[in-house]
Amino acid sequence: MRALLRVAALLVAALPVVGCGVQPTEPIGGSPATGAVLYLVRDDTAVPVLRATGRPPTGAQALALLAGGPNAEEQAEGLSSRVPRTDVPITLDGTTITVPADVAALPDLAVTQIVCTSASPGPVTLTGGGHRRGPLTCPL
Amino acid sequence: MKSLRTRLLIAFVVLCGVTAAVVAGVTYVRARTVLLEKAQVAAVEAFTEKVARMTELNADLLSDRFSAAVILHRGRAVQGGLDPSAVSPELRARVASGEVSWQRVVVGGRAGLVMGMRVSDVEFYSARTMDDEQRDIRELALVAWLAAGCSMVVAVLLALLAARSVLRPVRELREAARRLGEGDLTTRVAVRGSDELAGVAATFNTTAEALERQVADARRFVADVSHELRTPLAAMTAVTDVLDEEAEHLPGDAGTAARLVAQETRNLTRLVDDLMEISRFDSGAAALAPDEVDVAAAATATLRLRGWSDVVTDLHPVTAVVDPRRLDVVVANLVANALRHGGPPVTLTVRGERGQVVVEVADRGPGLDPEVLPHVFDRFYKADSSRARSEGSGLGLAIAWENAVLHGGSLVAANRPGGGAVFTLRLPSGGGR
Repeated sequence: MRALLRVAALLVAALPVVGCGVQPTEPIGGSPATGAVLYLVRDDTAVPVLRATGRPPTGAQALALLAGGPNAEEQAEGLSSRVPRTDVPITLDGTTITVPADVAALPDLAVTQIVCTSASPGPVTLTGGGHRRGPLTCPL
Repeated sequence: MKSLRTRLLIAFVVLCGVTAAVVAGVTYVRARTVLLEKAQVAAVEAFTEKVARMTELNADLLSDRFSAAVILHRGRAVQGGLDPSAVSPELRARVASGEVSWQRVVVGGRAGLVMGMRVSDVEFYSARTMDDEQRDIRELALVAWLAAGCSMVVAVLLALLAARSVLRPVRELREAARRLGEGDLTTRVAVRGSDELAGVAATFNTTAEALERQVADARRFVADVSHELRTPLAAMTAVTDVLDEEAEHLPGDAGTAARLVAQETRNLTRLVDDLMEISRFDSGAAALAPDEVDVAAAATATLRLRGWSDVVTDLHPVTAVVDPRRLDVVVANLVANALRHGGPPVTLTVRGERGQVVVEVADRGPGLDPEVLPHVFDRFYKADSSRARSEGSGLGLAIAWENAVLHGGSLVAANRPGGGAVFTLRLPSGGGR
């Protein structure tokens, strides 16, 4: 009898631990976020644009996509790119971005697009066509 | 000490309470988890889907009636109606690690879900209310409490039922034991089923049977012994009567001895007679020979026959159907007892009283000790233990009581307010059973 009562008391004591209603939680992580952020041009300003990729975002991947220019959907929304379309991708190596074009001849907007798209935490240097520009940071 | 019923009740209720709490509690918690997780997964999926479909940053795409969103670009809020401070630093850290993350929050009793994800240097956060889920869970809790409460009620009913089925035989046994203790050796209990209580009942019956047999044997022995003593006693009485008559002619000690033997023989004869009388009562052989009797006249006759002239009488003429021999025995025994143990004057009263005849024998002696009172009609009971022998057989009052009961009447001993004892005999004037 006494043992029975003790068990009951224990259960009653355990009640608040479980709690009633909806309880707050710690942050819960799920799958890795995917996609890429490219900087395209609208009204002569670089704006961030999301591109679904199905892969976690990296600067190098975003730069490669940037070299491909805006896709049909983005074009339909009136977005353009000042970065020259090339089949050779723009590559990122540490803080150096290699552009398959003369960086000295690139318009400032294109440079901003590239620098911002690389999403580097620090300043980056652009090289290409035998020239260097930088170090530069995303002005946005 | 709690009663068996209370203990059973507590055990049942605790047992049921524990079971109900565990079952309802586990079900509730599990259902709540499933409900919330489903809602969260759906919300997070919708959120990531919306983000994936976005091209230019547009927080409006992430908001609806139930949710608000904010988009942070390089840590600065650029769009959306959600206050970035609503997002906890822990969630932001989690989102910064690259995972689609979410956190359930409760603000002012309302639950909500904050979701976030980061793509490159853009962070998306959306917060939606969980009012629907909260309401569902409240209903779930209500149902759980109701279920637990109902099972408690059932437990109480079951416990009472179980207690009754256990307690009824126990009550019967207690009642039977009490009757047996009061001297009704024919008491038996019904044996139901084959459980432990039935075993106890069977044992009780066996014990009662054995007891009844032993008591009957003892009584028969007394009856047989008394009977066997009668013949030699009759012879002895004849001899001692002669001796008694010759006592005065015998010299000195021989005369005293003869008188003593004669007296003791008379006492012994009376004792044996009384023993036989009481044996008849015990064996159930005592029979009434009722007759219409003038009780006052019968009482006078009893006194005259015994030569008790100093008894004060207050006799009202009452006619009753009683056994005259037994009435004589009762009155004689009561008066003899009063004369022997009480103080003078001894008063004998006879009166009629609503279908009863009441015979009272009172004295002015010291009265009866309160400790003695309940045992006054016991056989061979000595009120004064220092007095080993009295002139009576020690059975007089017991025989008087048996006779009263045989008539369907009663005999009660009490103390008078002014001192002295009073024995009240009440007999139905219309005859006994």
